[in-house]
Amino acid sequence: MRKLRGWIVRLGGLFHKQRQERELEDEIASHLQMHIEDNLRLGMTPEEARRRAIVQLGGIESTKEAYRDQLGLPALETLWQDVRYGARTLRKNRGFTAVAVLTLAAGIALTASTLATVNAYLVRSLPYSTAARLYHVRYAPPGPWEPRGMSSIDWKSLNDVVEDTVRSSGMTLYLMDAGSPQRIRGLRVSHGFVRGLGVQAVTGRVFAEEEFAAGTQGLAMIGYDLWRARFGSDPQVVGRQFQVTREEQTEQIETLRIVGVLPEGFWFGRDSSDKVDILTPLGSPTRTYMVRLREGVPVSFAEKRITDVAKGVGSDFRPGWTGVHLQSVHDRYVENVRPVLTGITIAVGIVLVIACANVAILVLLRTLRRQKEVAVRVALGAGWTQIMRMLVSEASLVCGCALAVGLGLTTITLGALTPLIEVQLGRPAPAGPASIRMDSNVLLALGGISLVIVLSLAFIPLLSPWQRRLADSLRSQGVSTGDGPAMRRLRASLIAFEIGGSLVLLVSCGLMIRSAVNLMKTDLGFNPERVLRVGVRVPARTYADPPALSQFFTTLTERLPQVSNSRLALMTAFPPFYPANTQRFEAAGSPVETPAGMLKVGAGYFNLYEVRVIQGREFTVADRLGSEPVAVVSETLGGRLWPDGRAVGRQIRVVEGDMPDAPLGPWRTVVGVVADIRQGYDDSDLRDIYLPFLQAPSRFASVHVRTDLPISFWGERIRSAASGIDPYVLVGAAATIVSEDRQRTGTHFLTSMLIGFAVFATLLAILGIYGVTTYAVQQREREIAVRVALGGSHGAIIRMFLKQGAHVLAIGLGLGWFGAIGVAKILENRVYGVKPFDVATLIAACVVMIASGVSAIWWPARRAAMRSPMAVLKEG
Amino acid sequence: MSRKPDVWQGTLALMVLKTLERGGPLHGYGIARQIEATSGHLLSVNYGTLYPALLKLEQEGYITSEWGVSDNNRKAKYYALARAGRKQLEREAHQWEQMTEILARFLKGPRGAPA
Repeated sequence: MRKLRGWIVRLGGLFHKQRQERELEDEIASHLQMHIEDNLRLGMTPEEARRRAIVQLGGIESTKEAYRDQLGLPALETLWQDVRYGARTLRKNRGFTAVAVLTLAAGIALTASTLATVNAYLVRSLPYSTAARLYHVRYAPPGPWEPRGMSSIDWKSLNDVVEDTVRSSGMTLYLMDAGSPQRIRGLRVSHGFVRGLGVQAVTGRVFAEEEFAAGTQGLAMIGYDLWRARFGSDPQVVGRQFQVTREEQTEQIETLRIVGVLPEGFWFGRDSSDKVDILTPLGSPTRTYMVRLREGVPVSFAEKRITDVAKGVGSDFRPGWTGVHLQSVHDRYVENVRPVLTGITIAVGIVLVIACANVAILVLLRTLRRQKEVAVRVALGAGWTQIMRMLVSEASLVCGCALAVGLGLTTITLGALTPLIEVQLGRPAPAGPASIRMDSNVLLALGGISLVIVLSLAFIPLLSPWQRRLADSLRSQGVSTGDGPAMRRLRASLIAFEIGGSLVLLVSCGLMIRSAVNLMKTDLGFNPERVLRVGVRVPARTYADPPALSQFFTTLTERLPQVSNSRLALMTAFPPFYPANTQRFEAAGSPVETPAGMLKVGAGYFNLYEVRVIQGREFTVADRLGSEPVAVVSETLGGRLWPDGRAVGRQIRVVEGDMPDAPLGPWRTVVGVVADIRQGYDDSDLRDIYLPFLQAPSRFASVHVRTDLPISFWGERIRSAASGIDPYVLVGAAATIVSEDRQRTGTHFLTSMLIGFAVFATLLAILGIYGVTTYAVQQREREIAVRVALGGSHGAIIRMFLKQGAHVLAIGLGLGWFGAIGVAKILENRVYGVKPFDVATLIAACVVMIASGVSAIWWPARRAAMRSPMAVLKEG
Repeated sequence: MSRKPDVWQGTLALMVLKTLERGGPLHGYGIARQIEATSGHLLSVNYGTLYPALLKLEQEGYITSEWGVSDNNRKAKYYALARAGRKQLEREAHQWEQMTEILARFLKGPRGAPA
């Protein structure tokens, strides 16, 4: 404690030096006076008295010096001096400093943005208090069918592994006491939900255990946004009542009493945009899809226990059922994001290391140029610690500036790109969009990285053989001495590494460009351009049977405006780019086939998507309930079922409900055969059966429009038409079909990212090669001049440098080939229509790299060869 | 001239504190003379080393300083023991006593014989 106080006082001592100095002066003066007086009293002469006093003090100046050392913090002052000296040197070498700082800053900004994103998605989990112990329960794998009886699992008997069962059931509610009914998202939840997720209340309280007993009704926790918007953030909101109706029973008004307010941003569902407006206790049992395991219980053990219980109560296990599986909520959230982020992180890592290698090369070359300066300092008595201090402070300054610029850039980048990042990754960060930022994790990681960079940049010059060469460099006049083989090797390996890294990025970028081109060239069988889609969902209660549904959708299409050049069609909830439902079916007089895709489409659908009708006709408005049941099959399916090519007029029937074990529907007459459509790039099963939407309507539908009009026009028209018929119908936001092509947008994102990285890395590599060659050329200026003077051709001189460079280039490319194997592994699932280890792409990347490398050597070599030999020789 | 032993590292602070405890507030020169006198002129204090030591003690809060006037009307900086210094002195003195006792036993005590 006392020691610490001493240090703090000393730190303070740095600031009022002058007063302290005066006091010291006075104190020593008074000391000497007293001593001299005593000495005089002993009978000494005045001179002797003064001399003795000073001797016994141990010298005035050295006393003051010792005192001053104790006064401030000498180490800190020296450090400050070093930093000032470093700053002066760097200011004098503006070119070096600017290139080094900017290169590093770009590398750091890239790294920081990536780290912030990785941190938000992969490091930070979902915003529940014990998210690490929350698991999704999956009964079904490998297929989509869950065994029966899974809701009778007795979770209490699994008490030793499962702490809480997180059960919930979503509901759509309408707030009644606002002018028009306002739609809100509600969740009925179990007590395990409240406990397992650690639900807290910002105002009021959470539900008590007894409030979950069946029969308790009318209690609600409200979401933060609802609290703010509907209740004006009223702190006295607890106890207030409000009225809602449920989507399924709109005629019945329910009164809810508020017990508490949920924290801001509380969400539960598919992703963090699924905010919860209302939470009510769930009384009735539902199937459990999420559990919180007890602390320290291994997942595999819990899976085994649950599977054993499930086997006891379940039935209808499909062959190949592998048991109940648990998947951590965080893993499930990021499973599609992880590969992309991993790939980008590796790419960014390569870019950062290349940037550092480049700065290292710059530092190396500068070290060689300043050998003489260092030699002079050493000759004047600077020890190795001083030289080391100088190097460290210079490296720290460069790195510090780069860090400052880099962090500034990152703030701007993240501010601008966060929404884009979320769209491209397909979902917002688990803890909400605001969590993509530089928090303590990111800053700590950056600090560590910067430290490594500073140390490696500071120590690199030490690898040069200074000790032996100091005398030489002082002796030699004007011409700087050459450098040792160790330095040359180090430079060569840095360059080789840069070339290899750049090649890896070029290869990845090439593969992604080819994938993007392949995706663009792929004919999915329909034309999604200019088509937009608006989802429509009708309440189950009001539209319980097909006639009511059919009536609603017929009215809806009739009420939509007829605009020239716009085509309209209805469809069920499986629009293009969403995998279609596969269903069991049977064709009269044909062998049994495995389930095929079943889609319900409205009149004019094939015309709208420009799908060719090969035989017969497509659906019309006449294909409605009550008319003859009809169907259309895809070309592939038609060909398989009826090889004679006459599909029209044949009979087919298919499971028309949503449940896999529903009975087959009525026999339908095939009225047409259409060209094959692929729902997505991975859809390889081209066997599809189409039913007319109005003969088999469903509550979930979407209106598709091919149009030149703005997206908002149709969004608005469809919304007003639907709510004109029934205000409780949900109308989604209009979206273009092209924007739903996630694979294409994802590929474009990764491609543009990698193009950026590859270009940056290649430029850095060129810069590095250029710098090294320029240096080598300068070293041999006189030799070149002599050669030219003696009649050596320019070509021969350029060839000489190219030959030396070719060596390093070859090693670098070799390294790159190894890296390309790694690329193949990472991009395995991201490439489309091209092999992940594609020799053609690799060769193309090599050609680009060789061309860049050769031009970076050729330029300075040629410049040297073109100089007048006389001028060079005179200079020396 | 016989060599007088130098002041050991670390003991100077203790001597200063003890001197101030015994003699009350004193200036630097006075402290130096006092230490010499107390040691029976066996110790040679390099007066110059005293001032950094005083500064350190002051920075650590064991002593305080104030400008005053000396007996023969000279301006001088007077040092006085602070409360923390008194405690520190007790602690250090106790340690030293223990230390010297142990050393004494080693130097005097017959080999292997129990004390």
